[in-house]
Amino acid sequence: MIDFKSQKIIIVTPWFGNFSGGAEYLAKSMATELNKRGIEAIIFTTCCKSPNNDWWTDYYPEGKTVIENILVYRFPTNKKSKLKHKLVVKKLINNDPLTEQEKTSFFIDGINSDKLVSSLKSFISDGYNVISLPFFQGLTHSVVNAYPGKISLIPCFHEEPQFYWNDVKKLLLNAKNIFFNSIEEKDMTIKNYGIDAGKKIIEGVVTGVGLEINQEKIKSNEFDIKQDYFIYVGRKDNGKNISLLCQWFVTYIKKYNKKAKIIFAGSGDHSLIPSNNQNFIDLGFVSESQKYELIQNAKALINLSYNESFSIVIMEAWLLKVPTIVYQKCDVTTGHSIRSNAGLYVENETEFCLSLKYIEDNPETARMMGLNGSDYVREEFSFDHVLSKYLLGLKKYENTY
Amino acid sequence: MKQTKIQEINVKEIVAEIKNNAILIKKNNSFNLISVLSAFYGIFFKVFRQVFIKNYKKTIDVRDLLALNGSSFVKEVYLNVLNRECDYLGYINNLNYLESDKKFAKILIIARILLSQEGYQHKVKVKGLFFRIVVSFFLKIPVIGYILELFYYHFRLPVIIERIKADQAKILSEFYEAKDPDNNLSFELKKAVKKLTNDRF
Repeated sequence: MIDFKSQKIIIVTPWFGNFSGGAEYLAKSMATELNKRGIEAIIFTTCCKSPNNDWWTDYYPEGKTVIENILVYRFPTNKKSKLKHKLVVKKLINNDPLTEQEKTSFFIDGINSDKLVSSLKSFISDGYNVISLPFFQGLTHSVVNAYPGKISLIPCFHEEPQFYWNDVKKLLLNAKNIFFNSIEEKDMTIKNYGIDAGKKIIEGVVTGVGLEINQEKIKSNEFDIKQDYFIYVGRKDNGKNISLLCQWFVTYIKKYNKKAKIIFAGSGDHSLIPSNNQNFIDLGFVSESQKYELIQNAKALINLSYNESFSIVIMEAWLLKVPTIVYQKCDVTTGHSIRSNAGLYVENETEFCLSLKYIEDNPETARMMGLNGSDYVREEFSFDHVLSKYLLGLKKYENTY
Repeated sequence: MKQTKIQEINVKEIVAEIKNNAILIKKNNSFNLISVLSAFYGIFFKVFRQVFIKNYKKTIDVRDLLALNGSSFVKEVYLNVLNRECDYLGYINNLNYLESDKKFAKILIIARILLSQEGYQHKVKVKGLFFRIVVSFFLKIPVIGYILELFYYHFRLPVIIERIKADQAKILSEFYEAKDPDNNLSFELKKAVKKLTNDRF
């Protein structure tokens, strides 16, 4: 019998509190649910407000604080690295080749905190298990590389240039154990780093992200939208393929259904959504309960992003029994769609239009897809299921080093 | 219970059916004599309609538009031809088309906007566009187009050189004017620019 309750966990994440990105959601939900189950879980983070604010400026005061019943330790960010990081980012934007040093600078001179890294030492000696995320931010590299073999990693890898840089190899080699969000993410890592860090990656655990929706939280009839609609939920930026979605949806309107509507819910660049067009409704930022209500009443949730290591919003749609349409270029969301039998995946504009039409013409099949999705998420990504994978993974490697 | 539901539908099969239909649609669109003829008829009708507009409300020179590039080109075409700001999708589509580096992309964008229903309603005459459309049509013919292009640029060479001279004179005159507004040289250069641009074509 393994004694899980004796485990003490620290989750290191660059931002915490005022921001709700994927990695932050993961850290928050994990800490909340572990604490609920009597396992001590605390957060180590920086004083920076959010990724949208200056990464080298402290917004929150340094020290201990409690956020939604989670104990949080905040540390000041490194201040001297801003210029170096900006220069590397500028080169990246201009597609200029980067030297190895500059690649390292991209990570290390980004969001980072030397004080946080050094503070972890006493906690590790006290028997805390430390999990750091995500790979894209310098803080994770600093933490993992400062204590080789002692820090676990949730990389949240995407298929992007940074994934292929040498620093990632170093990160994987120094990590204690690796937790993946999806089987596709693990496959991609094996494919690229299998030879260098083989055993560790192969033994890495696919956990996914825990998800549950409190049905009482869903408000009803807050939005007076009488017509049927499709929905996109999430940040509005080109990294999420919003322009392509708008372009394809216009074709659908022209060729198949002049009355079709799509709702956009989420913050970001509003100029990406066509204005003065009755078929496009941009609601901007909505509360969590409003988001659930909107998704629940939609015909399908559309997400054409191909940079996903899990896609929480797709799981939320399935929990609410709503089918999804995703981009086939994204292995992760396509893989989930096939395994769950709950969503369609498209490769081009014609397939996109035909998929939307299929959903509109076959409401019964769409309903069944939604039900399948709900079953899939409840079975695979309930907090009990996901957290037990984490705890078993941490326990397994406890005495390895 | 769950097993029963999953067996009832199979997403892979649905997607395969959608993909097959998409391929069929693509095949049908690739060559269809009726659609090609109707497209030709549509273009002919639109050109005919545009040429016989009686009272043009506004006349613009196509060279003024062609001198612009990228986003400013797209925005100016909308402002001049449709008398409005460019809408989002029009902007994205036309900019993509422009950046696809297709030959005569600018001419085709102006023609497409001018010959649209909205363009027709604004009754704008774009001076020099028709000539350029005809030229671009012939230059696009494989092999023959290449030979014609050689002749075309051979005869246009003096005009191109004049234009380069005019641009150089304009830059110099602006430079001298910025240095010393009362400079006589700047005035002379301006006169030269005026002469060169009036002599064009």
